[in-house]
Amino acid sequence: MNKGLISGLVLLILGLVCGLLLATVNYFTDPIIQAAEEAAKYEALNTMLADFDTRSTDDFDITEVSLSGHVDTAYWLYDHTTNALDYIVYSVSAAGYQSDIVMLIAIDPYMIVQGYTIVSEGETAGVVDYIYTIDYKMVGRSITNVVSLDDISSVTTAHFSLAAVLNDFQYVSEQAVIDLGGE
Amino acid sequence: MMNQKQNFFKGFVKENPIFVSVLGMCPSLAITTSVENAIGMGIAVFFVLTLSNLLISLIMSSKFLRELVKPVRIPVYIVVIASLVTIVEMVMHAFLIDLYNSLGVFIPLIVVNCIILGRAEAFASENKPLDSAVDGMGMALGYTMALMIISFFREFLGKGSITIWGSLSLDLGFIFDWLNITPIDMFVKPVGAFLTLGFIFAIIAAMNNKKKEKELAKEAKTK
Repeated sequence: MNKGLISGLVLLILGLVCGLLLATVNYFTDPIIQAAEEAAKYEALNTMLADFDTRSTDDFDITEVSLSGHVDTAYWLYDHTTNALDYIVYSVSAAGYQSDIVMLIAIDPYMIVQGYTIVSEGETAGVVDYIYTIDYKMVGRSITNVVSLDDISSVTTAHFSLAAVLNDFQYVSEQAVIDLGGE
Repeated sequence: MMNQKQNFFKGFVKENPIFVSVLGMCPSLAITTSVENAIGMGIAVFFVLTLSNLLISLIMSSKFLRELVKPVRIPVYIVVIASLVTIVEMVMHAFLIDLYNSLGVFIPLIVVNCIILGRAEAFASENKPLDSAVDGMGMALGYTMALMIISFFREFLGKGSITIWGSLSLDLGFIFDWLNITPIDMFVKPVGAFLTLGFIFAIIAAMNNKKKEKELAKEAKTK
């Protein structure tokens, strides 16, 4: 038989065996990963809510909407008693220097940013600390009017990570316009 | 011919992947910001290197499989290593989420770590499965030890503490208080990695030179 064909077959069989093995491992780990991510998001949601509201997630009726692209989920928070929409919290991610920076960004029905938090990132330790301490000047501002990098920092440290955070706001801005209308 | 003990321990000092062979430097410099990262990376590399050496040796020690695989051995090694790394990545993501986030892109990059592919081609393909597994374990432990040494100095000098695992950490800030200085932040940044490694290489070179001088002096005496 042709030697090239044999080599191809060897690689194909090995690929199939490895694929089967990976699928088996994924079958067991995927539900755990999903559950952990969901729990982390709700924990982050409560931490963020505490910054601008006395209520927790238990005090709201939450409608979870799955989206595609950078904004993967929108949590619509309705007041238990009045049933009025109080906030929309978006789970969003943008590429930083070496990882995605995942954030939760809360806006009210008038598209004003009420709060935000960084849920996870895998950027360079030490350098990335800066993105947690800087004031992005977005709270109380319309989500459609995202600040530029020059408005918030003249420091070159963590440039890609900072840009990723601002991209997160930008992606939410685009999704908010679709969800709530406006320009 | 090496015995199993020599085979195991050669990765610690004599053929240490980082300090002697200078392999896998990219993740070694990037993730050594804490001892916890070094241990986590070490565990991942231990699993991958031991199993990849074992599997590749099993494939290559069968005459029939060796002939089949020989023309495409490098792609075969890569498929085996990549599968093992993906398993490590999935398990770490599920059970060690903080460590997974901390190591970031350097977990999947284990696939292209020269140590793994190097041992597969240089050792596992030519030796028996047990020898290859022992070699993998020794090399991985030597790699982990080197990572821990680098990260110990970087974390201590940069943060004034040592994070061993999770919330288990040693606060050594009192040393800095006693010296009336603050930890040097630069050491947990990339520049600190190069400086630390440079100092360690310098110390190793000085020790080797001293050893050579002693040996030469001993030779001269016997002559």
